[in-house]
Amino acid sequence: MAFGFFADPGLTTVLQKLSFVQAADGNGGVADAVAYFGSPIDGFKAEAASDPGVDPVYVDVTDSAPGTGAEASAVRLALASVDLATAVAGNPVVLGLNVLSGVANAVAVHVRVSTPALAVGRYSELSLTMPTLSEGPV
Amino acid sequence: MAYSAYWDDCNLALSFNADPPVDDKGGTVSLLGDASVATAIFDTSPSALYCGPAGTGRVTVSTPILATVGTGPFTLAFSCYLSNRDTKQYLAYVTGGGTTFGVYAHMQMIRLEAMGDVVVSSAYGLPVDTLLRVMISRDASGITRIMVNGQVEGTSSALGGVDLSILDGSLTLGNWYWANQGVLNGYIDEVYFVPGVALETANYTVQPFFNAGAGPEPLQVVPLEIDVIATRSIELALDIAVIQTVSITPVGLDVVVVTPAVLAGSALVSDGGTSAAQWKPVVYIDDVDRSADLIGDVHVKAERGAARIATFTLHMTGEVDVTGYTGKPVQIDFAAADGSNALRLFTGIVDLPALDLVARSVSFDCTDNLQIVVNAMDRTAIDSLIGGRWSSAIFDAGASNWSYAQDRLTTVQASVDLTPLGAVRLTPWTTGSVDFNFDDNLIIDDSISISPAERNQLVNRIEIDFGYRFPRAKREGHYIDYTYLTDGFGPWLLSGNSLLTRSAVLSAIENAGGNTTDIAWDALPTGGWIKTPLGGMVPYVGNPYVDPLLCLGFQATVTFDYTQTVDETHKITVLSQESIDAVGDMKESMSGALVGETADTVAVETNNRLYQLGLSNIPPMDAPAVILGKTNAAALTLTDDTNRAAAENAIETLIDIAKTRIVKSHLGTTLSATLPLHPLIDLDKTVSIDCDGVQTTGRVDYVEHRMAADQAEPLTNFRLAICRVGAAGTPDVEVPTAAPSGVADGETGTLQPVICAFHGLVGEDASFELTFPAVDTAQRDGEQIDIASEFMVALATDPLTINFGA
Repeated sequence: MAFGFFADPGLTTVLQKLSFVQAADGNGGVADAVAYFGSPIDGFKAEAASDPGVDPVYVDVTDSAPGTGAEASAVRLALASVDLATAVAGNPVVLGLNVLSGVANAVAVHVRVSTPALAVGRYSELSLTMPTLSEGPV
Repeated sequence: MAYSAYWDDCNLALSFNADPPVDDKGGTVSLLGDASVATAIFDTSPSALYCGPAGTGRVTVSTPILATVGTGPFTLAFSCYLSNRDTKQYLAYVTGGGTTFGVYAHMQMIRLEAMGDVVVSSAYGLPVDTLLRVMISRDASGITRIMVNGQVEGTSSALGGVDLSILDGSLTLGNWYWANQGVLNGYIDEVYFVPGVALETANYTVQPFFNAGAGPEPLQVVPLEIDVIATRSIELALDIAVIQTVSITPVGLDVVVVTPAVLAGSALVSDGGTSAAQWKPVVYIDDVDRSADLIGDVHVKAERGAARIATFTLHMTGEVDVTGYTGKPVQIDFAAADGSNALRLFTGIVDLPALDLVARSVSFDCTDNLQIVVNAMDRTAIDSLIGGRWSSAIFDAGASNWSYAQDRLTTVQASVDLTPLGAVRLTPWTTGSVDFNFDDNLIIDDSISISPAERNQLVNRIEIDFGYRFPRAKREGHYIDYTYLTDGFGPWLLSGNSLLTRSAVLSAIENAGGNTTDIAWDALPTGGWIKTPLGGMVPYVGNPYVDPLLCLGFQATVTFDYTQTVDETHKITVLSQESIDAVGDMKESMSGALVGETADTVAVETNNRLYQLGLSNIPPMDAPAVILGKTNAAALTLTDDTNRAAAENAIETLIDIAKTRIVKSHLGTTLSATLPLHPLIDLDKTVSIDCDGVQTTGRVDYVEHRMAADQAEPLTNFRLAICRVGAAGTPDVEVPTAAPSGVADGETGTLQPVICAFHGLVGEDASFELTFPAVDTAQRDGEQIDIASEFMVALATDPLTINFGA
């Protein structure tokens, strides 16, 4: 199985969406969730295809409709929940120069959403993205 | 032998082919007296050292060639040309610190002397005016040989094991080391000394020694002729790593914005107030909204420590791949009729799709997959999530990760479940800060029911019986201070009595099975005046050869080592006194055991014994320190799974299991109630109730959301687990979990004195007897120790009042 995002630390369920609930007045506080990046099959590693082993593997927030609805600046990413408070909103988080496969090597990507006042509704223009990766044996 | 391989070992290399001569190993060479470099005779061209008949010539070399020899092998080689074979002529001589080592020609022989004694000589009849190639070597077995022109002419074992090291001695050639005595009349050439190796040990063909001045001889190049006589193909496996580039599927961030009151739970989509509620369930299968196809009810249930499940039915049209639904992701939201204010009730997968051909529908049983999710986690992540304790002495190390997590949970007052969003969490049982207050305005009439815990379901005392058996090392430290002289040395000796031999003492100790760890001898006087039995004085002269074998007494430390098995029985009581006072003693019992296994594969006693006898050079791992006059004990090094830390962990695990068991049994009182569907009520929420005369607070341990198409109002039924003890009592103070101390290392007894008897009087047999006190059976036999301890559990009781009024 290829590398990807999973819903659980055991990498059993492919993650399609992360859901967050926010208050329309912008005062509802933060909503946190965790995505797990990795591969349950041992013996492989993922590197940035642009320059494997040199360029970092990272997770970014992509906004398909900038300027409307929820913005990437409403999202903070970190590799630990305690780092969410100090993460720069809208910035990518670096996972390292490579990510090894196997459940034990799964990387937890903590996501915090805190939107300003928005109209009641569902906003789906944001997503977690990664650069093209190269996968190969360790 | 190819000498060049030992060039680096060689520490003296004099070829006398330069004037002044040079030691190619770096020593400072000094020509003294009439010694000179001469060309008349030589081994290697063009010259050699010449010491003439004037009797004043010698050469010194600063290198202490014997410094590292010790008792090991060595080789001394040189060439010499003698004009006189009868007078003593030193060829090579080293001295320092009272030790001497030299080779000389005398009486038609070449001889090696060490420590003033002749060790080995060449054959008689040494020729004159002939170049002789001499080699003297000692091999690893201690055999020393003198070889002339490649023939072994003398052999001796006298230097076997003799330490020949002379740390600061310089070398003198052609003369004694400081006076003109035994001066060579002749030539010396090609002098080499190689510590650490006997270059020859049998007859050999004389060959150039080292190519002095040019370093080691170059290695010979042996040409390899390769004839190709056939051709064939060779398969070579090529390991080709395939690297592929992949695009990672993005993960959508679904941000649902709701009104603040809905998010806070103070307003419910399900409660229309004075008008009918406008609501709908929203069901996604594989990220496709299938809400329009819903028929019948949608149920979502969650219970403490169990998988969250959901059921719903979809009307189907067209081609249906019913099995294709299995495992597909499912999300269920509860939203307003227009889809707004949607809050998540369920995240999971399709577990079982069931086809109804008549109704043309598929019913879906869904699960949040809790067991699979936890089972897939690695144990580090499980440890981090749950905490608690785990012991291989209590649980099965080979269990699945799910069972492993459940094992840990037996020591924690909490449960593992998944949130409605599918995240793994640990939910405590005890009541937290109140999340929601519900009263008559929201709770459906007559929906409250209370179920008190049955008394026979309560547990308020657990007796734990844990046995820990382990071996420990013991060491008796006997100190013996003995002398047999009753009236001094002179009267004893002059009365014709025998003297005690040191070997008799050591044999007596060894025969008794003791280990002599330290001994000091009272030596005999070396001379002087000694007293006679009649009070006079006579001169006395000791015998330097015999006296060191005798003694007048000794002071010895003798140890005896053995092991002892200790059985610790821990009687541990874990209880809630408050509960006992309220409902009486409701007791259960638990037990466990662990046997310590030594990590030392050699039996400890044998290992100690072999080491102290010098038969093994492996120090024993667990020897207790010697305490004179006492028996000392020390725990053996045991395997990680059976050592003291493992035992303590097992005990603490059992204590926490008992505490958790007691707390859980007191959460048996429950309150159930129903209210319009409240999507925020979940297992992590603490709810306060004030309705129908009932006032209480508790943590939700069960919740079920029901969205029935034929009902106007969707409902949430929940249950609170309420911690109750019984009648109000005095709260207990929790005693933190900590394993009681076990048997400690240290002194375990005092030793009786050792009895010595030397039968050395005139007419006796001069035997020596040592009688050690017998080992106390209590010190050696298995020791049974009971250790009692008690741990109080503090129950966090929840309020519960019921008032029916007048």
